[in-house]
Amino acid sequence: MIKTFEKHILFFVIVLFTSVHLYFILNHYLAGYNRFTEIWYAIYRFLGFLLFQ
Amino acid sequence: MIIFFVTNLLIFLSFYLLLINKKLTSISEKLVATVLLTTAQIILSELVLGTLEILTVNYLILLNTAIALIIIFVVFRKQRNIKAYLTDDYISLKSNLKSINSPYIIFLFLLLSLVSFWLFLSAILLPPRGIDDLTYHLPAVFEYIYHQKIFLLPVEYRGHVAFPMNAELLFLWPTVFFKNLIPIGLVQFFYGIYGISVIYVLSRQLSLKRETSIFIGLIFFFSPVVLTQAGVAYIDLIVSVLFLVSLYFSIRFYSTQISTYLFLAGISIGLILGMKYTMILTAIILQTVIFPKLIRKNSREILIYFLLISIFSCYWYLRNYLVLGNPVFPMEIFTESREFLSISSLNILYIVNKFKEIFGLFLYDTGIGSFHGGYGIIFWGIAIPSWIYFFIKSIMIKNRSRSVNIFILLQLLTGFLFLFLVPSFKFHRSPRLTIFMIGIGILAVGKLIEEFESQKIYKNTILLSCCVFSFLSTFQLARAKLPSYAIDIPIYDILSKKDYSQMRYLRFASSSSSFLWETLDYITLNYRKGLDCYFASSVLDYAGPIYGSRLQNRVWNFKEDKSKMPDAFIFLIHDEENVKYYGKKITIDEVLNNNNYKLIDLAEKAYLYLHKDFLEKNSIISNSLIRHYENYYDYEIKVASRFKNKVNNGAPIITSSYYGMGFQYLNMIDEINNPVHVLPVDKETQFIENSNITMFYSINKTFKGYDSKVIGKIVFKKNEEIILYFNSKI
Repeated sequence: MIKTFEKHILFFVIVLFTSVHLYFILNHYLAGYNRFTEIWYAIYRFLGFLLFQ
Repeated sequence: MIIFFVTNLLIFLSFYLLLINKKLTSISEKLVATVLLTTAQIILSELVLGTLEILTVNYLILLNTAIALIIIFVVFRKQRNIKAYLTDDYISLKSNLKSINSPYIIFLFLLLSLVSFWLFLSAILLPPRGIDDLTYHLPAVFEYIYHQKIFLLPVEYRGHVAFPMNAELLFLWPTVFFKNLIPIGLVQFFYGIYGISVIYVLSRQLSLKRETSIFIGLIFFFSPVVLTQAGVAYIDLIVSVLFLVSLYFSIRFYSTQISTYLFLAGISIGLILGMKYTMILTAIILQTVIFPKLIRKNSREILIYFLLISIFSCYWYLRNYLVLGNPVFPMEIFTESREFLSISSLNILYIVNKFKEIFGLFLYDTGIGSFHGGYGIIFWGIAIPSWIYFFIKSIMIKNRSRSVNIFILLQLLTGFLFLFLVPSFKFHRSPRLTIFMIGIGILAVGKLIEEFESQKIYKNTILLSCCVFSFLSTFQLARAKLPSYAIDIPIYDILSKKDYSQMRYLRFASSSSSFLWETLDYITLNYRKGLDCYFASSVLDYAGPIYGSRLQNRVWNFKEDKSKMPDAFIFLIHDEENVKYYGKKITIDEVLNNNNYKLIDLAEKAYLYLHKDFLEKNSIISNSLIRHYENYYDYEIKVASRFKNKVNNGAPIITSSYYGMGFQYLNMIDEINNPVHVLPVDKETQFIENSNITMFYSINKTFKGYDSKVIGKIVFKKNEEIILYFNSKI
């Protein structure tokens, strides 16, 4: 019983840490989305060029 | 290329066979040990040949192949049942691979394949573009290759050239075979992949399941700083992974007292000591687990252990002591150092500030989006609380593996200790020094996953979150500027069939001089002899790009014999008062007034001069320069062509404007006969006075003491008037 409670607390603390960190940093990650898609689109075009040239 | 892979394979195979019956417990442990020994042999062979001044690809192949064949021969003579061992390893490997059945692991493997492809393309399409790569890691490597020996570059250039260079020798290894820059971007990537297996064995040491161990190994690779470091010639990832290897073999020796582990620990500790001074601290910490068991060994084994450490590290420290009088140059041990905290500056304010900085690291992940840092959401959100929980638990619960668990987990504090010792002004670029902290934190995540075995919803939430956060990390790779992985730009250049030098993409990482490195590289790509290039700068002292993408050029400043003048000059002068000169002081004014040199390209405050001998008609360099002008000065050529008929009396054209490049192009293709003098900004008057010129053309500029007549006027773009003047002395 105590052990299970301990795990609930542990999970809660992890959610807390992750949320606080994400609150400050998530924008940094999401800001890369546009460039990420652009780069992968270019790779897709490049593969097409290499395979079906 | 084939020879390179065969040589590597042979070294790897020889050590694999050597370790086949050495009481190593698993195939994964053997692989980790084999890669370590392969790394060690490569570095040692380069050190030996470099010291003997015969560091050539042929000797490297010869020496390494000979050692590998001797080892294989000895193993086959001594070992009767190799086939049985191989079968065991094959079965073990197969059962390991069977663990890859979780959807989370499959997802991470797919992500790994995609990111690997991206990093592989980056290595091919983009040049080395890290700050430290270009300032000292790579110039040292290129000089070793050119001179076929390992030597100390002039420390006046940078104190960093006296750092231990074991890791740089790993960049030298493929470069000496391929003679270009492409494999450099893949060296740290290889050690990133190696890191996955190192985390795996460490995790197994903590009694975690195979499936969990593979999973956490993979999420280590997807930490933002590991990803951003994987494609550049920084050495922090290599050092941290090899530190984790030495940690693993140290605790294996502690647990088993088997000498093989002791020797492997000795080799790995020696290697990291020969890579970074900061590793002295970690090496001392590792001795706390090695020493209690080492004293029980016989004197021969103790001697071998210390000998192995010395063989792989002493060269650099001894050299610095003999040449510079300080084994850890440029660090100062006994006086106040800029690199690390000194006792005198340790006070309450420092401690409070340091805690604030470390807390800031948790909130903002200092350095994220660059090779300086970015431990990732998994580390700060999941690993840190898990680490706290399991560290406390390891102390409280007494069992057989207690001390090993505590020691492994304690290494996270070693990382924080490093960060504590780093002065504040360097803190923002220091998280990269302790990438191994991520590995330790990730091990706590592995323990957490198994702790939640009975709470499936929690376990799956953690696994899913790790996958999502790993995916998010790859976005960081897309937006990173230091270094850039923007391969879409070179891809579109290829698709539009443009002919550019690889150095074109240095501009993602650098300032105006990157344009001139590109010019220098482009015009010398097919000129095998290459050029001796002098550089002086008031901003960045990047020597690396001068060598060119096929290592065709040399840096004149580093030459011992300076009797012959350089073939080319690169000046980057943003602040005339603070230009740094290396080797010999040659100012831009001296070059400007030397009739043998011509300014062939310029970018904002950056100037490239070339000896006129290389500009003879139809020479390789001259033809390449014409193509370069066509690529880059399309607009300027159009403007100059419009003025072509106005400059008909043979007087020189003198200007610091970019339009001068258009006229220079017309002159090179014999469209005009006028000599063209493109000059640095505000140097025209000085040039005219020194050369006693009475009549000349100028663009958008008139001169005191000269009668200036407007010869032509064009409005090409909106609000941009281009005026051609003819000036004659009053």
